[in-house]
Amino acid sequence: MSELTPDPTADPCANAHVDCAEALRHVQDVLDRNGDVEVLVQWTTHLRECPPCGEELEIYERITAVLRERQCCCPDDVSARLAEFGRRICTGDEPVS
Amino acid sequence: MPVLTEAPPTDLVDDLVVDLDAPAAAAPELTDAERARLFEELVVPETDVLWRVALSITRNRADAEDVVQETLLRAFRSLGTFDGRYPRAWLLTILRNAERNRHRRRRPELLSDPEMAEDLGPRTESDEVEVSAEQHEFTDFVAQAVEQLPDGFREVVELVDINGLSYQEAADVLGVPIGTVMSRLHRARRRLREALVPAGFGPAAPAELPATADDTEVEG
Ligand SMILES: [Zn+2]
Repeated sequence: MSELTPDPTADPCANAHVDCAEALRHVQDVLDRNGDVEVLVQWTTHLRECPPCGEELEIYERITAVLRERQCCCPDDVSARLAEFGRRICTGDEPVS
Repeated sequence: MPVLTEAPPTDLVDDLVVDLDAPAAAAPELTDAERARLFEELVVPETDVLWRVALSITRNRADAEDVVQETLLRAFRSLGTFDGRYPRAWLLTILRNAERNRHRRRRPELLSDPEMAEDLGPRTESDEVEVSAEQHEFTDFVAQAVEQLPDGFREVVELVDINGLSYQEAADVLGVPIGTVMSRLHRARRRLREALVPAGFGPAAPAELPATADDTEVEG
């Protein structure tokens, strides 16, 4: 484990050096709820309760929240054209092969 | 939220797609009515998702529409060999092949079309509730940072984080193992996070994992 915070007295997670480094390695798994539930709960608990780790998780959550907002809808005209294309395939009006 | 358990193994899907190129005679016969009904039931509901995915990959509206049309045609042809499970995974794999084929046929425009600037720009005020100036700045900054990612990283961010595909679905589209999707996604997000630091969003990121081969792979 690499030393995340060399000075233990300045570390709000003083009892858990290894946990911090290790927990930070799992920020993205927590973000995606990827992996074994019990293990995730363990990392999530640390990440939420430890201030510096919590800050790290929050910034990732903020980024992914912004990204989710950016999903664009298929514009109505494109949607209509593709629907029409699909109908023409089904009616044999669009050469399939 | 990516869900790992929903999609079938990629190799299974690849097998299905290999069938696509097999002679049409190999497919069980469907009546025209059955085929149309299956198309309506399995393919049509996915059209919008297919378009968004195609736009993420082609970065061009006209090309995205072409790719989706080709995908619809291929899907219609191969309905007879499709077992009806995981239609989205099946369609995404077809889309990937359609896109590859398009690349072989003609060289795509290297630069995105002007319409893309509009797609990727800040959203209009009308669809937003009151948002702080800081949030606006943050949002714009993230959008710019995504644009500056190497293509291999940008694609996974667009597919998973923006368009909500599962890891497996993104793997189907990109034709890479699921582990590659995860590794690229994590590295891409880490880059976004680091790009925010000079702009004053968040403290410097803690030191982390050493670079892997995948990092250089997508830079190329
Ligand atoms: Zn911690």
